[in-house]
Amino acid sequence: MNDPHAGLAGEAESTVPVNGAVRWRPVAMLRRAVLTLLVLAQTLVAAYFMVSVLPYHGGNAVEKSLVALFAILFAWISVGFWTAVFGFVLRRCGGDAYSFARRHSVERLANTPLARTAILIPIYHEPIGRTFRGIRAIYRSLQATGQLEHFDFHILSDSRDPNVWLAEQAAWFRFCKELDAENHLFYRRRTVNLRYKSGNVADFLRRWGRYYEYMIVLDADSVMSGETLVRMVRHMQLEPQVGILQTNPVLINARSAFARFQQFANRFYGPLFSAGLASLQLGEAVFWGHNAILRVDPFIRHCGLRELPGIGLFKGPIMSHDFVEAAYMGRAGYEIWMEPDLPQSYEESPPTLVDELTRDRRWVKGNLQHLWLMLFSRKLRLAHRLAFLNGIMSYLTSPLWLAFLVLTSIETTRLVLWPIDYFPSEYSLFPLWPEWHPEWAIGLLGGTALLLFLPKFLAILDVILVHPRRDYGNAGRLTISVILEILVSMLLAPIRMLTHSRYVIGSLFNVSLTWAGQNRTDETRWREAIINQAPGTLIAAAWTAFAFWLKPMFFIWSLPVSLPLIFAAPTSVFLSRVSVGQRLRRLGLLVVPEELNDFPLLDDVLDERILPPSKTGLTAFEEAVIDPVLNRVHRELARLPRNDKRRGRLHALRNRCMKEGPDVLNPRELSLLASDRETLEAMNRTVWSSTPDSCWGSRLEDRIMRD
Amino acid sequence: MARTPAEYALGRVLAWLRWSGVPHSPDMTRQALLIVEQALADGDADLISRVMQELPRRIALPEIRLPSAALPIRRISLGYAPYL
Repeated sequence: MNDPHAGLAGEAESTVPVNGAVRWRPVAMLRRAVLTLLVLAQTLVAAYFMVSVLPYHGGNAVEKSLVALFAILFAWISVGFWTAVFGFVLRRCGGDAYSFARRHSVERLANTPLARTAILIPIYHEPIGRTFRGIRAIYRSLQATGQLEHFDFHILSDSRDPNVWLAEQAAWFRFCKELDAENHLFYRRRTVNLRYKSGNVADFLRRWGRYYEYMIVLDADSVMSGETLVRMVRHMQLEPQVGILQTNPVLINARSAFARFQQFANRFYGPLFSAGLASLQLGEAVFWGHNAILRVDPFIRHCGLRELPGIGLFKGPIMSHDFVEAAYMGRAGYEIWMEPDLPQSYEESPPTLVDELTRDRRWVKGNLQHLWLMLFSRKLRLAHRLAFLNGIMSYLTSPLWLAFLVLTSIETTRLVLWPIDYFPSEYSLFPLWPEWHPEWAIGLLGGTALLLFLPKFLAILDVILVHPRRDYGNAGRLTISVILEILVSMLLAPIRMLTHSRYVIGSLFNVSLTWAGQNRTDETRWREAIINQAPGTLIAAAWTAFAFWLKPMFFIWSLPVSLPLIFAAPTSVFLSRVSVGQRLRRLGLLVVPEELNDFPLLDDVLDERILPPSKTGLTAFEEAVIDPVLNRVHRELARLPRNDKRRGRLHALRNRCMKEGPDVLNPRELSLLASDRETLEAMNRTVWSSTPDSCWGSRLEDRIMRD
Repeated sequence: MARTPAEYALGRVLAWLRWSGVPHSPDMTRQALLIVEQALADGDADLISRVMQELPRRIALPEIRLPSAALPIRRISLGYAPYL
């Protein structure tokens, strides 16, 4: 029989193909030009009003700075607004004629042969049950398409804690057996974790990349249907000039109140924004790091990530790799598409605000690093330089907003406490009378609010016009859900603003950070919330007290920002509660189509009876030592015996572990033991021969009694 | 009441066989008892250890089919373009 892995991809030096027949570039340029004009015009008008609103009409340095900051922030909001409007219009017109997914008929796609594809799941200290249930669901879904033979799954672990990676290995073995997935489900653990996730994928490519034409990169919480995976490969087969095809994953499986709000917002407003974004980017989209298919050969040839050669933040490994890889793929002449119409692509939200902000800490640093690439990298496409700018601005707007608030406070303080300056300009012959028109300010505020909230109402209209009513429950509950979501997003905005500002400043000063795995299960405790939110709460309390002392009107203006910060800790705790999230769901609020309709793909993911938490009371390390079958599995995955020096150290550690138990060893020492084939075997033999009153003997007897 | 070393030894043998995938049967239990009985004939000292050493010699365990964790490595280098 032929080796299914024999057909190697990319052995010959391929040339970059010419663009396909679809001439999307002029369309993209036109759309971007229209967007730029709209944003600039709107920003100029808003800035003009801002100048009018200010008492000295931009006549001093503080006011000039206020106008400049306002213009930047307003332009940013305006980009989001018009993106949503573009999306709404295109969806109302029956979709984008230049959409990637529309290029080929169902029949043509069905008749397109597949090519070998690796499905990569890089993991790092993820919840084992959820991660492997997701992999199992994708595997079974692919199996149902009858095309499984073209796909291999590679679980690429970077986990360091032996109790995590041993549990991963045990779960991998169990699913290999259960799914009869031998030769299609692989597991590799890196012992040297260089360059985060991109290093993990690069390590895979160096060893096994030549086996595959394509790779589909997933996150630990990703779920995609087999049909979508097959369709993506066929699209790539038909469009050789495409390097990356990115799906638009939607959030699922939200349990806590926080995650349910994120899920609802993503599911409800997301289609508008993603349709708009895709229509503007067309073939110069970006890669989001997961739920996407990539052409392996050009990726290997062009997307290696050098360390940044600058100083401070701009020196060392690139932390946010995905945008950079897309930019390099674009530079090599390949197209990158984001296709919102590819269905059944899912991911999960962080369960709590604390988790989201922890994740943002590394994203902030990663995105700010892109500044160097944006400015100095050679031959990148303008669209990708702008994508870098977009990513940077996602977080840089926070300190800009904070600066705007600080300047507003200074301006108000000057007006209240200092004498009026009739000649703010040194060369003015005539006095300038400071004017304050609250009605103009309210008008400007109203205009800005319209830009923020109109997309939400367009989304309601879109849902009403497009979706069957059952997708989101009845109209009353849908309206309440939208109002609740708006209120919660207003509560969270100042908290995110202040925290992101802290992260941006920390990143610019290059404060070190740890790249930890994401928590996907636990609720936030009061102590954790208070410690996390204390700085913001104290700053907001002091600011609002000052505003109250200064001027009652200013105090009232400050409340929408200060109150959410003052109550950040209770908000964080309350929103992290699963019971609150589930109560909202029972009331029919914040529901999404996947919860109201039948989605068999997700049944396996959510069924916690599959791979439940261990009830043996033993750690994964103890199971690895005691269980004869698991011990064999771990031995098979472990290293061969090492040199004498290492063996001496291992021997000493093993004796200590056997005599005093695993609790006296640290994770690194346990990892050393569990990584060595001979040691694992010897420990297993010793434990089964040990007396019942020894530390390992009592563990074994306890395990036998529970069985 | 505290268990005797022989009871512990028998429990270990049965657990080992069960966890190794040997189906529970009267015959299997009889063989386990036989191993313990013969070890007891040599005295109580180190009974569990002697029984567990004897076990693989007396009972053939079903072969565990271990899946392959990875494909054979076929190395390739990544392309790194200069920044400037």
